[in-house]
This record gives sequence, structure tokens and C-alpha cells, in this order.
Amino acid sequence: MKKILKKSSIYTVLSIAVIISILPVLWIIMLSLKSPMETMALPPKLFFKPTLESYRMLFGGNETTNVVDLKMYLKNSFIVAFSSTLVTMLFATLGAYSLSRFRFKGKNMISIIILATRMLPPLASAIPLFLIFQNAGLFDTHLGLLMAYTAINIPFAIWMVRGFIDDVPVEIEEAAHVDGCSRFGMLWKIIIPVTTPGIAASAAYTFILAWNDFSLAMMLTSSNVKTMPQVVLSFLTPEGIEYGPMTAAATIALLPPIIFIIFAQKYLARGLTMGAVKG
Amino acid sequence: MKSRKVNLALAMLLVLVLVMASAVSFGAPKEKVVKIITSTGSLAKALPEQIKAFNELHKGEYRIEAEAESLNSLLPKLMTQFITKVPTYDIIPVDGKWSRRLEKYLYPLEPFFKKDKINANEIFGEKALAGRRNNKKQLTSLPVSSSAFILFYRTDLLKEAGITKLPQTLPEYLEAARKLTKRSANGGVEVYGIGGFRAMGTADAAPALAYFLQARGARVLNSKKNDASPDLKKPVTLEVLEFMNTVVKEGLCPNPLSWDQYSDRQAFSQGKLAMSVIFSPIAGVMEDPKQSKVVGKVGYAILKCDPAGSEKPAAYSSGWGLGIDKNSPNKEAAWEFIKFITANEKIQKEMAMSGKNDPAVLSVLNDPEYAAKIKSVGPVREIMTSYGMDMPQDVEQGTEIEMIIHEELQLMWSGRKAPKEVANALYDRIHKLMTGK
Repeated sequence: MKKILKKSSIYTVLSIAVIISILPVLWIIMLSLKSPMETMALPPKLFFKPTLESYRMLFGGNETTNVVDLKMYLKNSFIVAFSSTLVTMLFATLGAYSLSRFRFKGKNMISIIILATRMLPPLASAIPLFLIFQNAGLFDTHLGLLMAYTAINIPFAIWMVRGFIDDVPVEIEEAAHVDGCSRFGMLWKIIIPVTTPGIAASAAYTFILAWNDFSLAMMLTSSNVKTMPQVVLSFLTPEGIEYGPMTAAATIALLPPIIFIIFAQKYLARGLTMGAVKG
Repeated sequence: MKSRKVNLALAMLLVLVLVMASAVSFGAPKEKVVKIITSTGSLAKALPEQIKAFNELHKGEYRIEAEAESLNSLLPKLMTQFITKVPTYDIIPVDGKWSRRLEKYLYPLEPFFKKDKINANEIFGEKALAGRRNNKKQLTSLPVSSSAFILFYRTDLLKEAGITKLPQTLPEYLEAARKLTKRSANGGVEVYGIGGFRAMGTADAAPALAYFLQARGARVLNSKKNDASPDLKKPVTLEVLEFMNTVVKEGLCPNPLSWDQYSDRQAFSQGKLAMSVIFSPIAGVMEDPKQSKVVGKVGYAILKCDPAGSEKPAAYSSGWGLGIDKNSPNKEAAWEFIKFITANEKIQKEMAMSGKNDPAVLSVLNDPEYAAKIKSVGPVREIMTSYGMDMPQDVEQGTEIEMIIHEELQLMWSGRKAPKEVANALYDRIHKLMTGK
């Protein structure tokens, strides 16, 4: 009886926590399915007839919406988020391996400096980046935004992946070395397969950061490379907030990270519990 | 040997073709690309058609490319451009609140007026231009839309409550709010008597104070806008603050601490407010059956109150203007578009009749066809031509002034400060901010 009581109270608390966490997302989805009158209703309506009018506004180029072409913004977000994640993980894996396995002067200092750059808010570097990008012809380009996100996310990715690599016993690599395996071979054939969950967890985090970023995208893009977070905020106008299309755009923007994490889930569960960042 | 000669000849021919092609592209006059950024919203919706028309008219000469940015992101983006002196955008949107803050980054338009023989006062009215002049009295932007915060009121509810004319004094507003507030059986409020009192965000409180203060001829800043106004220490300000405090204490308005201007618009359109001070372009929303439950039941008027301040009564206003970045390499082209979109009566009327833009040109504001379509034009016209408008944030220290008013009103409405203390604090803090003393 005591056991049942304990279990049910734990489940109750967890259920409440889940409901509280998921409620804002549910609210956004509900608002996106309401008609303009129902989005403005006071008190808010919990029961209503769902409509896809807001979604039609986004893709149909209806005159009531400001969005020129949501497909373009989705494409931009995909290109920038995926490519910056790939590049980040490539460099982060190499960098993490070096920091974990090699001994060289200033290694600890370099590790700290790498982490320290992550403590700088992205917006603090917006103006210098804006100037550099303008002069280098990278302003409002996919490559420019990719470089900015990669630079911002690499430090944290290195720290995360390094923690996972540290957990792999050095003896395995020594054995491989004895068998004639090169350094790159050890990385490719031993380290990466073993730390795949950790790398996947880091990749998921990096993707989410790149997908959700607003401040750098706002400063470093103009009309060609606008991303989804900018589109969502564009419905905040001097005349009022267009809740319907705004929440519809937010719902669409939610989907790719969720799908990404669903696919990476089996790696994430192992990865997040496998290695902790070791300081 | 022969094939080498042939190859050499082909290579030379290729080089010649390339040189000729580049000569053609270098030699031919290039179309100047002029970039404009605006806030998302009705202006961004109104512009594409006009930009298309302008580009057709100036094909081969100029091409306008427009971009819209959300209101919250617009100023940071513009300031980045100004600080770095990299003119990403040639044509700059200038909200009334930003006018003085941005004037040092904008190119004065006087030379263009002289060249094209334009009398801006005649086209827009001096009242509409007052806030757009720099210290040397030069215009740094021209208004593209005219908007003001006016009184929206429910004609049906006022009639039901036996209120035959709009309130004209603070006691009359209070009395009207008491009569118009409808409470339900369980003690909740079905309809609030009055709105416009808001302090959720830092940008909400300053207008809330300014509506009634300016209606009474008082100001937050002095006439030179270099110090706190002595009106803040006079009974006129204390009376306004006491009125605002009483309205909140008696529950005649929604809780201002969790209320912003968007909440006001939403509540009014859903029939939850009997009166409020709202942005004039929102009249379109109130008359749209898809978004409003009060279609045909709304009246519009200037918020008037018994004058007691040191200056003339004025409405709180905010409208968009267009200026030119002083670092822009395309000033002439930028001016051609600004002139096309602001000072052109035909274009202004087209945008106005489409319902996407409130006109800035006086002749369109006076046009009977426009007046028949847009019910709120009467008070807006009066504000632009004779009544006048002002705002306390229209200085470089605008953000800090907003924060001071926001903090003090929050303290008053949460019961931690009395209106008298708030009035004194407003003067002292703003005086210190503006003078450094």
C-alpha cells in the first residue's frame, strides 16, 4: 500500500511537471488553429472549431500577412542550422580529441579560453561581426551565418565531446597503436564509434542553438537569408500582434528540432547519461 | 605547331569577347539599387505596390528593394548601421519616438526641398513636422503616415449609461468610468469603464501618463526638451496621477501592471472596454467583423481634458516618417523615392484608400472620399492641423525617461508610493537625467 502511494504521488508530481512544461507549447498550437476572432477572445476559448486559416496565410501569401515566402525562410533555417551543425561537430570532434589525448604546453589555458568565449553573449559580438561581414561580403549570406554559428557553438561542442572522449580508456588506443593504427585511424575507427551517443547529443544541442538563434540572424542578415525565428517575430507590428500567423509560424518552427531529436533519441538517452563535462 | 596557333587564336578571341562583355557592362549605366527597411505591419503591406510603380517609372535609373523587420528589432538594426557607419539601408524609417535620437545620423532634407521647390509645411502641416526637425530646424524625415492616440469609445454603452457628451474634465472621466463599468454577479468585471492605463512594459507607461497630462496642457519635459517640465511639480500633474490611481483602485480599468497596449486593443475589440486611448490605425480592426465584436459601435475623438498646464493641450502621437542615412551613397535616389511616397497626393490617397496606411498629406486627410471610408480621420485630421501632438520620449534620453515613468507608475499602482511622491520623484529623476545635476 505504501509502495502504491509512493509511486502514485511520484507519477502525479511528474505529470504536473510535464503539463506545466508542455502547456505553453499546447497553447501556441491551439492559438494557431483558431480563427482571428477566437484568437482575440476574452476570456480565451478552450473549445473551438479548428481552422487552418493561419497556416494558409503563411503559405498562400495572403494580403493579411507580411510573410513573403515561408518556404524560403524554412529553407534558410535548414541550410544554416544543418550545415553549421556538421561543420561544428567536425571541428569540435577534432579539437576535443586533441585536448583529450595530446599533451602540449598551454593545454589547460587553451581549454579555459575556449570555454571562456562561450561566456560572451552572441549579441556582444554582433557589431564587430557585422563590420567584418560587410567588408568581407559575407553579410546576408548563408556562408556568413554558418560561420557565425559555427564560431559561437564550437567552444561548447568541444567541451561536451571532450568529456565523452575522456571516458574512453586510453588503453584501447594504445592497443590499436601497437597493431599499426594511425592517429586518424584511432579517431575514426575507435573513438567516434564509441562516443557516437555523446557526439549525437552535442550535435542535437548545437542544432537547436543554431535553429533557434535570433540575435545574430537579425544583425547579420537582410532579406535573402532571413530565418524562422525572425519570421515569427515579424508578426509583432505597430498595429498589433497577429497571433494566428505568429503561432502558426512558431508551430512550424518547432517541428524540425523535435523531429531531429526523435531520430537522435536513442543516442541522446545514452549520450546524456554517459559522459559529464569534466572540468 | 598548327594546333598551338589555333589554340592561341581561340584564347585571344575568348579574352576579346570577355573584355567586350565587361566593357558593355561597365560602360552601360547601372541601375542604382536603393534599399529601404520598414517595420512589419500596415506600412510594409502598403509599400510593395508603390515600389513596383516607382521601379517601373524609374527603370534603368533606380530600383528600390524593400525589407520589413519586426518593430522590436528595427531600432537595434538601425543603430548597428549608424554606429558602424555602414549604410546597409539607404532609406530609414523614423518613428516619432526616435526622431531626435536618430537626427544626427540622418541627412537634412532642406537641399532637396530647394531643388524640387517643395514646401513641406503646406503639404503636411507644421504640427505634423514639429518633431522631425533637428536643432537647426532642418527636417530629417518626412512623414509617410499620420497616426495619433485618440479616444475610442462605445457609442452604445455611453448611450445606455445616459452619457450624452464625452467627458471634458478628470472628475467627468471618473464619473463616466464608474457608470460604464459593468460588474457580474460573482464580482468580476464584464466591461471596464476606461482603459489606456498600462505599465506592463517599459514603453507602455510613458504614453499612459502623457495622454491625460498633455490633454491638460502639461508636459513631462519643458518646451526646450532639455529639462523636466515645471508642470510636474504643479497641481495639474498631481491631479492626473490621483485620477489614474483612483481609477485603478476602484477597479474601473484592467490591472495596469499586467496590461499593455495590445491588451487594450484586444479587450476593446472584444467589447470589454467602454473607453480607451488607442492608436488611431486600429480603427480598421474595430470595424473589421473578422476581428471585432464592436463593429459600428465605436466613436472616435480627441482625448480632451480641462487645460491647466503651462503649454497648449496636445495629443500623444507616433507616426512613421522616412529619412536618409547620411552615409548613404544613394541620397538622390533615396530622396526621389521618399518624395514619391510621402509628398505625392495620388500615391498617399491610393495607400490610404486601400486601408493600409493613414495618410500624412493634408489634402488626403481633408478628402471627403477618404473621410467617408475611415471613421477615425476626423480627430486625426484635427490633431495634425490645429490641435497638435507631442511625446515625452522624443529626446536622446527617451529610453531612460520611459524607464523612470514606468518605475514610478508601477510603484504608485502597486500601492508603494502615493501620487504626490510619484510626482516629486518624476521631476527629480528626470531633472537629474536631463541636466546631470
